[in-house]
Amino acid sequence: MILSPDFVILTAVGYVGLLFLLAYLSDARAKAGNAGFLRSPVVYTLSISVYCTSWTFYGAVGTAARSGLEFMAIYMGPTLVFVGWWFLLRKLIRIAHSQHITSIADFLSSRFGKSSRLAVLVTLIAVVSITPYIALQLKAITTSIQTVSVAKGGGTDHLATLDEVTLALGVAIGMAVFTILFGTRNVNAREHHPGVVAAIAFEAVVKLLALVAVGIFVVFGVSGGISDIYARAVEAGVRIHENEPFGSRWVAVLLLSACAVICLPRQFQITVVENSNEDHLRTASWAFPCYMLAMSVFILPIALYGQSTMPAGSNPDMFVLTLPMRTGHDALALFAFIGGFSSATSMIIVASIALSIMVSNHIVVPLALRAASLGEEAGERGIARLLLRSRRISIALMLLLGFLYFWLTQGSDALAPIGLISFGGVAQFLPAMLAALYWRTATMKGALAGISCGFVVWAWTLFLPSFATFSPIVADVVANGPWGIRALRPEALFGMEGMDPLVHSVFWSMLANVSMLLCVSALTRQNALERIQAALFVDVFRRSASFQPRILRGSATTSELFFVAERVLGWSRARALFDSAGVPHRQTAPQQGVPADFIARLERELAGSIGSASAHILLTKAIAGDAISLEEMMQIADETQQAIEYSHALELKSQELHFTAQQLKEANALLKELHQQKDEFLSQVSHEVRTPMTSIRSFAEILMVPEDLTPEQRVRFVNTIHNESVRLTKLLDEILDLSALEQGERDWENVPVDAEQVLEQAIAVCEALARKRFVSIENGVRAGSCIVLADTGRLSQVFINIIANAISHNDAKNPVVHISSGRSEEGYIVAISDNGPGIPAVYHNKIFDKFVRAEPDGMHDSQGLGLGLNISHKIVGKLNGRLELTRGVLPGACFRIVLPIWQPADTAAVPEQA
Amino acid sequence: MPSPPATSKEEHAEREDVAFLVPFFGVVLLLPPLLNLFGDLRTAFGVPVEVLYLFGVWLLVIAAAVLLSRRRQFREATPATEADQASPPSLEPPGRQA
Repeated sequence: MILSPDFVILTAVGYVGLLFLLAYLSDARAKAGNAGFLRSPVVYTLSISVYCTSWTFYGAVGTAARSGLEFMAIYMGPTLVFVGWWFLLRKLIRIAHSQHITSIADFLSSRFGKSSRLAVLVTLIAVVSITPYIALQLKAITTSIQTVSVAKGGGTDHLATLDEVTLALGVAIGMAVFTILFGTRNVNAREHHPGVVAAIAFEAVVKLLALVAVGIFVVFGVSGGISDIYARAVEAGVRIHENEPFGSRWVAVLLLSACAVICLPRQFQITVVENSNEDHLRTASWAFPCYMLAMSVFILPIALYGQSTMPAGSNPDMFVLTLPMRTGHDALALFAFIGGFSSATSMIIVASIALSIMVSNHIVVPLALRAASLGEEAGERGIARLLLRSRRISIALMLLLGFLYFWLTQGSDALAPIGLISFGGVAQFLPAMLAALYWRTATMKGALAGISCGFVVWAWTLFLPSFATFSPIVADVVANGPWGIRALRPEALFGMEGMDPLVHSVFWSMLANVSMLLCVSALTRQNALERIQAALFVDVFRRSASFQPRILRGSATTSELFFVAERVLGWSRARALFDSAGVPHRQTAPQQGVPADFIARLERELAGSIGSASAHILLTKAIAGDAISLEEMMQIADETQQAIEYSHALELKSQELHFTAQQLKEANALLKELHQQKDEFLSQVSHEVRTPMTSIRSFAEILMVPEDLTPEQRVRFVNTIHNESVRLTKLLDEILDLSALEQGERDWENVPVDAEQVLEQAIAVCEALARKRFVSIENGVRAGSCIVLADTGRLSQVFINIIANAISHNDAKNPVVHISSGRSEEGYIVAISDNGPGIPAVYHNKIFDKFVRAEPDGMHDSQGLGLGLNISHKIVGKLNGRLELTRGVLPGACFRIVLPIWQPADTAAVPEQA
Repeated sequence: MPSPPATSKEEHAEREDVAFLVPFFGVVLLLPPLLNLFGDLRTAFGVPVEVLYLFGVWLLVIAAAVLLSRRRQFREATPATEADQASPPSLEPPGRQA
């Protein structure tokens, strides 16, 4: 006899020792910065398979034997969640990383404004929901040990005489001690437990190998393959088809298992909190479903083979153990036992660590913080010690609760229903969780109402009835309703009878949960912190991961903060944190203020150890009651807004300055050009003045010596002097005129005048000159009376100047000047053309400039000074008109004057030019 | 980060939606109306057809997930924990100016 119960238990203890060693070594490696393989996607995936507990290992076979394919729904749900990782789990992990989330309670509380109430509620619900699950593991271990004992027919072993309850108590105590030693040796940064993860991954391999080994043994060892098993089952009268079509129960189990793989505290811990790299999820998205597939593939054959060959009345949950034992394969049975044992231990370890973190962070620490003032707790790492102690106690408490549940509900045989009760409890977190991820305006009160209502309904319809076998009172309530109110019967609420109890509970609890969440959220408002957190969670992919709003004002002094940090994180980590941020922390350092950024960062670091709600309370307290109020939030927002506006204004101003500088530059360039023009003008004027002066002077000098001159000569010279003086006077007149025009005449007044009349007068003035030069003036088409806004004298000056030019520069044999006028869209147009030599092309562009004379060389007309056209051009410009050189009816030059026609209503619109 | 041209960006967004196909068809294929198409007494190789169907869908979903996870748009470099723990860039908001 190899498999005595003593031997089995010793093997289990040895196996636990091996796990401990493995965890210890892994922790040491991780600490040495040599995590390598421990942080690989493979280990991550394997550790997620903590989902497959002894429920899977033993219970799935039982479920398959009792109710066919339903067991598959337990694995299909998680499969669907994982293949949809891109939308849900990825976001969850990204948020957990950026917010230093430590548990599912922390996640929900952090999202809904770091609410302590919500954290406490979630923690309590998690504890209550997981209790049956832990009881399930205790039951599986106990039953498996008993199975071994009974099968071996109660030898002389003293352990074999123990009854079920004592054995379970022993197992619970052993597990508690092991988990405490294992999982709470220190308070880690961000609650990473590389040692635990390594051990869980190892256990995942062990349980998979054990189940597959039994499966291969059953399918290929004792039968001839899958078909043979089915044939044998049909022969033995076992139903191989589903009893009834898949219906609501299948859907309910699928839904619950999908919820559970996200919301179970241990799954959240392993999948989200312990995740070291988001990219690992990509691998896990298919590798974890693969693992579950491998776990399930042999479940049906084992169940069918067991049903067809085992004696009636044997527990189908234990087929994995009893089948090998029955055929005398004790080594395989031992391996199977170890597999089942490892699946139970991994669940207990992770679940109780996750729950103890929640209990200590969300219940013990806030209570301690409220009860004692910060200074009282002695010791350097007061809070760290408090955390460890409370975690150890809560682990023991969890196992005790599990044991009590086991003890109270011993009557039930099957494993699976217990597990589904737990699933139903944690599924209450899912609506709030989805709202946390995708619904920005979901409020804390909504989440609180939804979760608590769902929980109450679940407790009434599913949790309470599970005690019916133990308590006659409960059995009576289940049968007849409380105080005989039949509408409130737990398994037939409001008379909804004939439904599967699980479906019934899932329906009512989810209905209550979701509707409360929706209604209360819609009717209540978020506070400022909730709004900030909601944006951080919902928009986690839209902003940089490290962005954190300032939540606490920076009014704490460094030494106060260091005191707080030291007590939670320990001296060395606190110092490293302060040093890396360049914040002084020694007692001797000046008590200066701390940047708000640093406080936000410190809060996140603390949240990584004690949860966000506690970290918030702690820092709030440390900063002398500097809790954030809505007003302060608004003020901060206001300040930021002002700063933004100010910087925007600065930007505008600098643009303006730039623009002004640009304008100044342009003005400067213009001034320089004008300056140069003035110089040129002066030199030209001097030149123009010098020529007549020189001739006047030389003739005057000649006349000073009268004896050499004949009277005729004398007369000629005096005439010349006279002519030159006239020319000089004219020049000076024109320069004065030009200067007056350029400076802007004071008495220049534009009044409505008849331009046609002015033109007539100008032609009349020029008649004499034309006759003297034998030039004939032709009158072309005329516009008739046309009113423009002008100064009569100036306008007449322009006409006279241009007509006189046309007359005096015309050297044709039969000189003709053609004058016509008309109206067009442009305004009143006068065209004056001649049949003279025209203006050479080189002068076309500058004919209106000063001192430009468009004359062939050697033909210097003493009359032309080169200022006339320039003056005319300026005058027409002042009248808002145009003077231009065009091609006319005669071969010579043609000047066109365009003036806007005056319309009485338009008076105001005529822009004045200075 | 140089901004990619609009077309490739759209393409990128479009291809992210591909990830939804697997869970969607997984759910549809694993829920009653379709599931019960195979719930009769047929067998293949001695195994009930509904069993083969369930495992078949399961394998199909896993295979699709493997293919998807290998696509480029789902392998974006994601921040590791260590990088995440590094100090955040200073985002000191400017103070109030007179």
